[in-house]
Amino acid sequence: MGQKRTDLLRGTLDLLVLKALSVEPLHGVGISRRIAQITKGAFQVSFGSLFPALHRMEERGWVEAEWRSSDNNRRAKYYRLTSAGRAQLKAEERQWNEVVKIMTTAVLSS
Amino acid sequence: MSKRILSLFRNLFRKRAIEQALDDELLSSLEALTQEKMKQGLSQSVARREALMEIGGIEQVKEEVRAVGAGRSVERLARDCRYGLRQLRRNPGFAAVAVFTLALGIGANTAIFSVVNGVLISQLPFRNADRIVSVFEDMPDFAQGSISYPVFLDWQRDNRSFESMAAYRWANGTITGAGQPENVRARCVSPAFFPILGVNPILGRNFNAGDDRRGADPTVLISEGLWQRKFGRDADVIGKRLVVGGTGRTIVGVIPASFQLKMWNFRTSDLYVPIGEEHDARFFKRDAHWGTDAIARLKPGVTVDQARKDMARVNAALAAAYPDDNKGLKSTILTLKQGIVGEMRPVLLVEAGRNKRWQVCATSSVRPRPAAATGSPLRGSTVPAQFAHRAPAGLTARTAVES
Repeated sequence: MGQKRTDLLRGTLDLLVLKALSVEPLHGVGISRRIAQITKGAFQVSFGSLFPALHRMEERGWVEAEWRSSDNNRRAKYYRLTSAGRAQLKAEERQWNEVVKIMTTAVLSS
Repeated sequence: MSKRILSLFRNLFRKRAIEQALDDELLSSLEALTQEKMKQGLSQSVARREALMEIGGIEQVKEEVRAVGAGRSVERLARDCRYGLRQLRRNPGFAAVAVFTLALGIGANTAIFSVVNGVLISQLPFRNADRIVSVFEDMPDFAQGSISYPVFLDWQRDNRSFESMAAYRWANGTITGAGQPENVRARCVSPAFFPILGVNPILGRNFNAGDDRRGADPTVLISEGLWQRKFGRDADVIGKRLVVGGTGRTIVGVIPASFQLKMWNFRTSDLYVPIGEEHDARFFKRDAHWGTDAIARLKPGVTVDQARKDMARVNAALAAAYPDDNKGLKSTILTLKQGIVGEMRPVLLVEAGRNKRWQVCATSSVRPRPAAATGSPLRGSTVPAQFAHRAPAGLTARTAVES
């Protein structure tokens, strides 16, 4: 498959999925493609991780799913951010920025 | 949280619908991927194969999704149970040992708990039983000894902690003159004895102060059992004479058979006579300890500790007043329950604790042995790996039985 296997940091996947859905509703494959796009191909999310994550997030009420026809007139399950999901995205972004700040400081320290 | 609970029920009871939706979603994803790859110029069969590879196996993805669902643990539990039953059926010897070990563990626990419950936890069947205490006289060389009767009378007079105090001791129970002579159990008691315990005669009256002094007309209380046996439950028994230990006594009351008590020197008896009516003058000497014990009822609001302090004050005064006989006089106060349970309490607690541990041992030992030990390959990926991990190697049913 030639895909770069990148071990996603624990918790990063949720943030990426939420981010991918922040613009418009997408189906599973769409989310995978969107994540590859916004990470400039650095992250290829396996479906074995993506679908469980989506179901978990659906149970938590962060995303809602709905069957719709896709571009080429096929039915697909589209995921959409809920308001709780948006709040979660904000929280996770803030948290991520903090981690980055802390780790940068740590790495740069002599 | 409510959402989570909702999805738990959905997952458990609408499993088929959920599975169907998952199937649909994965198939549509596979379709979308195939289309995508065909657009890149691959033939349909190649595109489909690549799409399948990218998804990484429909079944595997489904398994991963199921693993995150709420209710997963319930399902796993059910599966573990089924697995356990299967193992037991396959290995009846192990099953028998397991059942036997568990039965033994549970049985021993239940037995000990019944005793602990009866003895340590439940209340004694007396009115406000936790307010009743046993009082002993401590001599410098004899703790929790019997009380000299004059000291008891001083305690009764001087204390500020007890509503009332009562002494009791052994009595001669030889009955003569009414049919066959016989020897029954008898005790001397103070008039306050039965009131402290909340026991009322079913016929006649209790002892009063008039009965409880030297030179009084001898009286006796009889048990319901004796009343039945000797007098056929004759209601006119009150006032009749009964010769006890060679002394003619007037029956004044009948103590109900429901009264049962065993503590220190006391046993439920057929005859009770007033303790203070003793004709032997030596009984009233300060250095005479004729096996007399005492009970008392605490005044409302007075704690056992306060009573102990109060009695220390009384004893100090008596020691000063009678240095020859009461030098170093002390008293021990125990609740009635402590008095009855006595030294068995720590033993019972240890026993109860040991049985808890034994039960834990019994239950934990009854687990399937690790796969390696049984030599049977665990079937499929559904076999919970933790079974094998948790059972310490070598701890099989046999070690449980031996422990």
